[in-house]
Amino acid sequence: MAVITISRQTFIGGQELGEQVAKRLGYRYYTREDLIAEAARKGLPISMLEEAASKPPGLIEDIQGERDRYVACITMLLCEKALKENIVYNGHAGHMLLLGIPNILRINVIADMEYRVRSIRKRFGYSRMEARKYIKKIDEEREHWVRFLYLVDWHNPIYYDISINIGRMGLERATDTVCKMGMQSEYQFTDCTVHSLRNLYLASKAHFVLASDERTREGRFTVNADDNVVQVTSQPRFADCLKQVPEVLAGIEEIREVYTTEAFDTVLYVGERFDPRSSGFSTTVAMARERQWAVELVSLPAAANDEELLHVCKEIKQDGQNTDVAVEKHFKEQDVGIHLCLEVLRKAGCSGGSNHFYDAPRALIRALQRRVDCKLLIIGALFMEKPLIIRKRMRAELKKLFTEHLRCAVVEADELEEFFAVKGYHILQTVIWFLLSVGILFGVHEFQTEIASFFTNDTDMYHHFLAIVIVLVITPLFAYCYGSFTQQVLRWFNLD
Amino acid sequence: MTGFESFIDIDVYAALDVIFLGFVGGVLSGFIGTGGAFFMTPGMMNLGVPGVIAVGSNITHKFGKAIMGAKRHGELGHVDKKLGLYMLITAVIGVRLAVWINKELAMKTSVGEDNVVGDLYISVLYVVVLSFISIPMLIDALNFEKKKNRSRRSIAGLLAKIRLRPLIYFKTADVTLSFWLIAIIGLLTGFLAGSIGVGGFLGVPAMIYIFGVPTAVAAGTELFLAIFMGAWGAVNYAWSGYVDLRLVFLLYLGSMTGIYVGVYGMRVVKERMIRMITGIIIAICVVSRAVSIPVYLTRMEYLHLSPHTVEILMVTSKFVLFSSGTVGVTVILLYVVRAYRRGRALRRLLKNNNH
Repeated sequence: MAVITISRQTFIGGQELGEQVAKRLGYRYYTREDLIAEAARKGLPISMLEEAASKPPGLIEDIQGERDRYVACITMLLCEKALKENIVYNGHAGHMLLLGIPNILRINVIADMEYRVRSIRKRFGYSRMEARKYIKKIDEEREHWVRFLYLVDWHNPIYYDISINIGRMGLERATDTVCKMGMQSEYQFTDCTVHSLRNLYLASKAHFVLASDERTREGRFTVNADDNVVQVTSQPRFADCLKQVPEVLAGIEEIREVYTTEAFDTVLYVGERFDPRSSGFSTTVAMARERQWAVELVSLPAAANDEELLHVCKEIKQDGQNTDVAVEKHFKEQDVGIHLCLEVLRKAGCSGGSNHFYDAPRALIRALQRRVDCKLLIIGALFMEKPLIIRKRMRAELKKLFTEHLRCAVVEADELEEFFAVKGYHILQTVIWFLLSVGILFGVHEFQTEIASFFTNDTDMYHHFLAIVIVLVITPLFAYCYGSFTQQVLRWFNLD
Repeated sequence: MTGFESFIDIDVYAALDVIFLGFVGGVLSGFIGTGGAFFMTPGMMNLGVPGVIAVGSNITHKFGKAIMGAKRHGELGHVDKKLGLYMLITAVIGVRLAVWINKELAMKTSVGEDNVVGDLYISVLYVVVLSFISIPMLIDALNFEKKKNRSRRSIAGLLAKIRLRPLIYFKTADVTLSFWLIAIIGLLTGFLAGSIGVGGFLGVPAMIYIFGVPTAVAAGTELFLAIFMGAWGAVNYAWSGYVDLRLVFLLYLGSMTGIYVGVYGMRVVKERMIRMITGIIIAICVVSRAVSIPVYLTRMEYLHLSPHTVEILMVTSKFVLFSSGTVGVTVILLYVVRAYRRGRALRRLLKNNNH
């Protein structure tokens, strides 16, 4: 099976391209409108969402619940279709819906303005000026829509496999190119793709049900699924809704088990091997229990060579079907480890579920960039087959890569304890900060009359400059000393 | 120019009052992700601090606090420095303009004992700006269910449509914006920060809803911007002798602790309740300032209230503000303590079960 997603600008013949590709490859063709119609039948207020996207909400309005519901519903519908047959999906942001699923061909179709103006004039008989204005309006609405739903810029090329300028290539050649790419083994489903897709389908379905049900619709959840086991996580403020989750999800046949976790933050534990007895994992569990984290296990395939974090081992079977043999083997071996680790996390009340990620770390970064709920990323056992010195270098490079691209702190599992530890020098530092703060306060208190008269003395420029220097130096110094002292003390009580 | 006598005497009770103001401001600041000045500045004015000194001291306090906050957000990658610096171009003009107006009004009236015109101007600005924020917030909290299908047309929507060139791409925030739009928002943010210290009330929502910046990045970038706006405001106010360092440090004593309590509270209190508590406290701040306006008008001899009535109004203003802070923070603290204890009990239970 295969999926091709086409994201396109308006009036450039994206519709025709999608239809041609689907026809030539014998795939089923779906448009965004097909899925929207289906979603509307499930009760989604599509027009309200479209209005919300095109006109930014008032300062305090919240439509995150409806937005989550929409994304979950459309993702569920697309996964459902992709699991049944080969499809070509033509929509605003199909490439974002299946983000993180490997072997999907994601195409961006563009054209220059002149081509689009010609196209729209032919269709509606607009003047050149009207056509330009219309295109601009539609582009803006679309841009808002994608940003509103997926928090990304849809022009960003990193989310696509290829961008096609249909204005230069023409429909025929563009169709040829897409079809040729689509037939490549890289873009055919493997067992890994199906597994990921099934997990995403179930997670989206569960999320949609939770966002639709009266009992849970006010909650904000992170939902993931693995092998028909669903994990739902949310912050303590939605504790009442979270209690209802197992009951609400009981109606979904595919679900084997439901686990819920109430946590302040979600922490990702990334590794290619998972051992519940490893020191890194044990520390993570202890910290998670102490700080009320939900730990989500993210399983990556072992990198095949030390050159790149980009490539994973792939083999092609004799019959031509791409089965990611090495990757599958790896995951089968790791399944046991993940299950054991999940068991430990569940017992500790801090499980965030698990996710298999069948692609390179850079693709993982693309998938994680949208995650705003993640506080910390812990690098577990990675590159374990490499010699120690190479492993260290690769882990350092990966850490740098994650730090640069993700909006969360990144730490190696072995350094976790140190990252949060209270050591002798921390206590000493805290005492010094305290004494400095008290010293400054005492000084200001003792000499308050002198300070006040100094600040209000406007006899010469010297006083003015000195007053500014004092304010610019003493104020941040006191804020830093006293702030660090407070932070450290509250950290000891897990209140930071 | 202000005189030495404009600085209030700080005894133990006044110091405790200021620390309390800092604590409440810090809790609210952590709780709603921005602000705190809306409570601290009028609170200081209620203690007898002239408005211009209250604003000058508060903006200096914000400067140091923003350094700490931005450092933490920066570690998490939540700061778009480029966006912050672009906003700063016009924000410094806004701050300068605000300081100039405050200073001119304060100078005009410093011949007598107080800066009554300045205080009146700051109070009126508070009432107008905070009413715009608190009224929709309360309506929204009260109609949480009904609002969902409501049609909306907002100024934010109109501003978001500005696509005048040059357009600039901001990598961390992942948005492309018109320079002119950034300039407008920067100017207004700077003006509000410099006038009454509530720049974040405009800056953060504007970045989220007009620029389309993710919430965490908007909060981080605003704090980054606040470092420079705060520093620039502090320089301007200190130059004219309107910064009382004693007040700044006492505010820190309360706010640095309060902010952590507020952040904790934000994660355990329901969204609707957050809006309700914040909306009510801001609305009460508005009432507190509104009550004091007749006092200033009487001092300017536009109104002729008896000294007794003036006294009652002043006490009411102070009482209303302090009691709203006390009740609001107590409610938040109750939630925090309850959640903290529940979390500990849950972990203890799981630990015992595992053994």
